[in-house]
Amino acid sequence: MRGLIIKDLANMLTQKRLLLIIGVLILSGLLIPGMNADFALGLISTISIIVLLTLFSLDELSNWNKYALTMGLSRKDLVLSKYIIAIIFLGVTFLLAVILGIIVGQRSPGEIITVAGLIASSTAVIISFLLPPIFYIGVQKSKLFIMIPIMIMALLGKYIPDISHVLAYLKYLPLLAVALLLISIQVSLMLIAKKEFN
Amino acid sequence: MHILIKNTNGEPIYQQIVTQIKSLIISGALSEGSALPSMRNLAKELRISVITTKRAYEELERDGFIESFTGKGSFVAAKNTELIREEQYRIIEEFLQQAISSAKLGGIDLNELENMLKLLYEESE
Amino acid sequence: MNEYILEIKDLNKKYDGFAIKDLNLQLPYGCIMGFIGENGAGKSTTIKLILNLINSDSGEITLFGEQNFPLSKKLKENIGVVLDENSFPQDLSVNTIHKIMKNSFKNWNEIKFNNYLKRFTLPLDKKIKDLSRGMKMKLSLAIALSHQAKLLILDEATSGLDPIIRDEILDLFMEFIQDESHSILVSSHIMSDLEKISDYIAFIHSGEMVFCEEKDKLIEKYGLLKCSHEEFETIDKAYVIGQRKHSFGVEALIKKNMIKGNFQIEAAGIEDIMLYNVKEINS
Repeated sequence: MRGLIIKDLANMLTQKRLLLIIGVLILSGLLIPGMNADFALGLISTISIIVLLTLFSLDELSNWNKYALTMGLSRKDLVLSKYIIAIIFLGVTFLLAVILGIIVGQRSPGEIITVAGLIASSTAVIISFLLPPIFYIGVQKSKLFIMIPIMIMALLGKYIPDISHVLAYLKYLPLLAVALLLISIQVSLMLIAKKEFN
Repeated sequence: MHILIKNTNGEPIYQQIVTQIKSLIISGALSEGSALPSMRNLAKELRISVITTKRAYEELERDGFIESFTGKGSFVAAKNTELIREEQYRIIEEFLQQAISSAKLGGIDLNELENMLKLLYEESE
Repeated sequence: MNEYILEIKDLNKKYDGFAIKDLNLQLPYGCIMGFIGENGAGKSTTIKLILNLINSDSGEITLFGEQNFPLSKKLKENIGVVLDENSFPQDLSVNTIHKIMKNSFKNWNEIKFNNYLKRFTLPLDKKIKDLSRGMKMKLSLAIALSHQAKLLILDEATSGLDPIIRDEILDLFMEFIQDESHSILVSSHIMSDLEKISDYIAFIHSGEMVFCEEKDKLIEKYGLLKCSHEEFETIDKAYVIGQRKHSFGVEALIKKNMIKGNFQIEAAGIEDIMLYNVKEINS
């Protein structure tokens, strides 16, 4: 399994253009005074999902999983290693959000942590919905699944008249995220067990 | 030790190995007690199937030319003059068979053939 | 110890328009088996079934006497696999691939791997995408040979490589097989060079095993008959496997020992045996 994580990290480092964009975005948060910090924060979440998807795409491009399964690796290893990478990304997302918050300096430390936590949690929710279909049908066909959590939020917004009521429950979002991640892992394991690697 | 495999003639490869090792033993090129290469090594060097070399060694052992000991390998057996005579008989028979078919093709009768043989035999002495 | 390093019993797998039907195969220890058949005959599907990359509908596959469902990590360590397609991440260097392998196989032998790299003159710093097909194949083979595997499974690995590389690979195979507990299953649609070193030939056609036999026995059993049309009429057709009639005579694959009479019979190569068998089945 360590081999798989090394492979993903090495793969990530080869994506120079993507890393460059991330660098530029972080710098822009730093350099442009009065930039809309919330917009930059939202981007961090999007970027980590894009990088994760890129890693899956690279695997698909070289039909890596099929080969990996002939090595001393199990289907479970394939799934767990990707979730470990995802969790690393969530950690990085959290940290970046904190750093950016400090740099922009519009919020109190408590607020910064809360916002970073919410961003990492919502990223986790999206990833939870995204990974199981990716393991089963691949990146291309799975992109629509990003819409599920967004649709749910949109529907919540539409049918619950007093939105401030819901906002009070936001503090439970990290808990929800962890629960969804755990369920997501189980579903991925179930799906990959049945998958045929042609 | 020389062994040459010909792919063009119809003789099975194991048979070629058997014949050649036998003649090496008869000629004394392989002396009693000397070790033969392992079946797998022979197959590797000649680039042929292990089953083929195995069959050749089994044949050689059955004919009493070599002895095999598990774990140790195969060795040239003690010279058995009876066996060697038998082998020579076999080879002579093969050549005479060829001579006969050539004779029949050319309409040469047995008498004439015998005379030829006698003449050649005496000449070579 | 089980008698066979690999055994397939009554294997079935159905697709739309193609199926593996009641496939049987037995590979003893210490042997090389050439797994032959046309493109699309079912070689890759069979290998994927052996490696449990896809699931069978019915039947049983045992490796080292153990069932392959699911294929345990221990079994995987014991099998060295070379697939027909390159499966390494394109942008990584040979060196990084080495790191990945080192951290993926319990029995990884670094010294052995480095020796193979030297022997194959594979540059450590080159990226996968800059390697030729032959080089990628050699890298794959070096990996397969560097984790103490006892069974090598190669799927069309040598097809499309130049004769010099193919020749080097034959040497590697013969070296590998010096250990009597090792075996090789190598699939290919070209047999010429593999024919010499194969102990067994398994021939698959349209998803069915036509034969799985000792090569020497096949060569003994079959012969290539060349005769005139008139002579051909006198032969018992039960012993004719396949034939090719042309204006000047007939060429036919026959069961050599069953044909009586004075005929010109040549030794048949595996490719002849394959060709005439397919012709017969198709007609």
